[in-house]
Amino acid sequence: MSEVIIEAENISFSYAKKKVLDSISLKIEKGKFYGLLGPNGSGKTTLLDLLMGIKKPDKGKIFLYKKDLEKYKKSEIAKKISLVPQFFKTDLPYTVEEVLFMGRYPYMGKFPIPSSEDKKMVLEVMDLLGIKGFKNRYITNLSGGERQLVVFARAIVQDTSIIFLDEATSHLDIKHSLKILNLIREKVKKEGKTIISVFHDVNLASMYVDKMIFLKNGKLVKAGDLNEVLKKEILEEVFEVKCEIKKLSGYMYVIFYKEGI
Amino acid sequence: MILLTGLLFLLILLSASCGYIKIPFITTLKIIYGKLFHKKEILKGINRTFISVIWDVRLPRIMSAVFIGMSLSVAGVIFQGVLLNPLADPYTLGVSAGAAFGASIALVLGIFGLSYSVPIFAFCGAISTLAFVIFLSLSGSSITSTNLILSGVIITAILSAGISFIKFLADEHVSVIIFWLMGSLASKTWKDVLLVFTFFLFGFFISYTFSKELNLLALGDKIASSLGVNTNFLRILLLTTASLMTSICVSISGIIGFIGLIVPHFMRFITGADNTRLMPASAISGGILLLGADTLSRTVLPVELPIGVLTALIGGPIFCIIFKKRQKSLYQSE
Repeated sequence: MSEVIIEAENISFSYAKKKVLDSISLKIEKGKFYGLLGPNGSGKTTLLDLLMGIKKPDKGKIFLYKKDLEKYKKSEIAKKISLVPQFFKTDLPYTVEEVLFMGRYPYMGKFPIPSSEDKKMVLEVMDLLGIKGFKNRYITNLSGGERQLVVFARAIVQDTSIIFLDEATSHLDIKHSLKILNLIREKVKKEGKTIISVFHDVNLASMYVDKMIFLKNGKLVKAGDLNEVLKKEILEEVFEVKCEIKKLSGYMYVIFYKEGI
Repeated sequence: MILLTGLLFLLILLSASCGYIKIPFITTLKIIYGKLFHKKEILKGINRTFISVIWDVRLPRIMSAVFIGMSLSVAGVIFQGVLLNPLADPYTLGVSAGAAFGASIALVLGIFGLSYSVPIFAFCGAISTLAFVIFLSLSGSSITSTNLILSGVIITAILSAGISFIKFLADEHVSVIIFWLMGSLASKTWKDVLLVFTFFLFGFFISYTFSKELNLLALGDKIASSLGVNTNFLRILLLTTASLMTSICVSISGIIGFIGLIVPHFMRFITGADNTRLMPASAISGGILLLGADTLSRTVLPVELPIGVLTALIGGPIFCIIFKKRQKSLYQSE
């Protein structure tokens, strides 16, 4: 077992009176790609929010690199965890380059002058994702796919060892999705990054992740290695849909049946 | 930026020498220089009336126009940046009306012999209006552009009725309120200039300090937060600052609308959306625009038009154009 970098102990969280997360305990290991799955409203996004300190748990404790998350300053967490959300929309015409430089905010001083390292990082990432060509375009004028690529690039520029993806590819076509996920997979393998990604598509997840975490009604149903937890019984329990698992050219595929709902 | 600043200074001089009494440009320059640095020898031999017209009448009005234009533009930049909405400004959000309502109460109490501070009342009116407009337009945790503008319009309508009621109460003193409400820069004193200037400086200092963080808000609450910004604190701080600047302006000159909307909107074409550049550029051009408008109304137009009426007459149609263009672009991006 590799080094545990995030550890959640019995965390619970409620909105008003509704319990969104119910005593969840979880260990996240370094250099692994985690898929976070569950039906709508199962608490996936809230779990990510808690793990990166955007929200505070009502009960329980979270440790980031063995240190209590509450003892971190926000600016310190920003150097360790970055976030790629589902989509973002703005009416203000920032250029692609400006958005990428915003990702360097945790490393900048009080004055808005990027260092040579900031500039190098932004250039590298633009090359990596092939978005150099539209660095001066306004994000308000980009297509959905292009914009999501920029949002993703902004998180990479933040240069953190942990990256959270919250349905980062849900609004993308299959080519853009695979492009982003390939890059993520590459980052895990080469640079030992740790990823937790919320997926809606089980089959897309199973192509990429090392481990899966299943949530339902705010409770942890199962977490573990892909081949141990991607099971018919577990999927049927979590999603309440009949299914079957087939192996095809090295990948595991889940086939869902429309009957029996 | 240097070009804009130069333009502003030129306009100040030009404006000071124009008017009912024409004063030569060089004389104007001499008077300002002499007065500013207490050089008595320079002022010798210049017509006394000229000195008084420039220093006691025109310059206070000019400098009020400049700093009010600056304050309203910076407030506009903040409202647009925080609410992520290029149509937000103190006027469209009802903040100006709120400030005017508060100030009218203070004025009417003043008529009844109670002396209350107009700026403080204006600020209370502005901040509570802002809070209510935001509350009204909240759906879930997000605020949509349409909701925001709509709430602003509704609140402005209610507040206008409130102001009318206050006018009714004021009875024969009503002209004081009416004249002030229309937005006028006439007969401003150095005391007024000092007040706007102080609050402009204070407001600009705070908002410029956080201009980089203001940029990050455009990425959405979660990303800004994940980058280490305390988003709720930032929003409250900046909105309060912007409301403070607006209410000081309103308490001195009445409602001057659309400056805060138009200036940042057009400056974005030049500087881009980056607030570290947009904010200072908007401040200076806001000063230029309002001074320009006021000078025109004072010197060129046959009758002196209240500045608030003038900006609304010009700004209103521009707002319509921006709004319509935005609808089209939203429609296309769907």
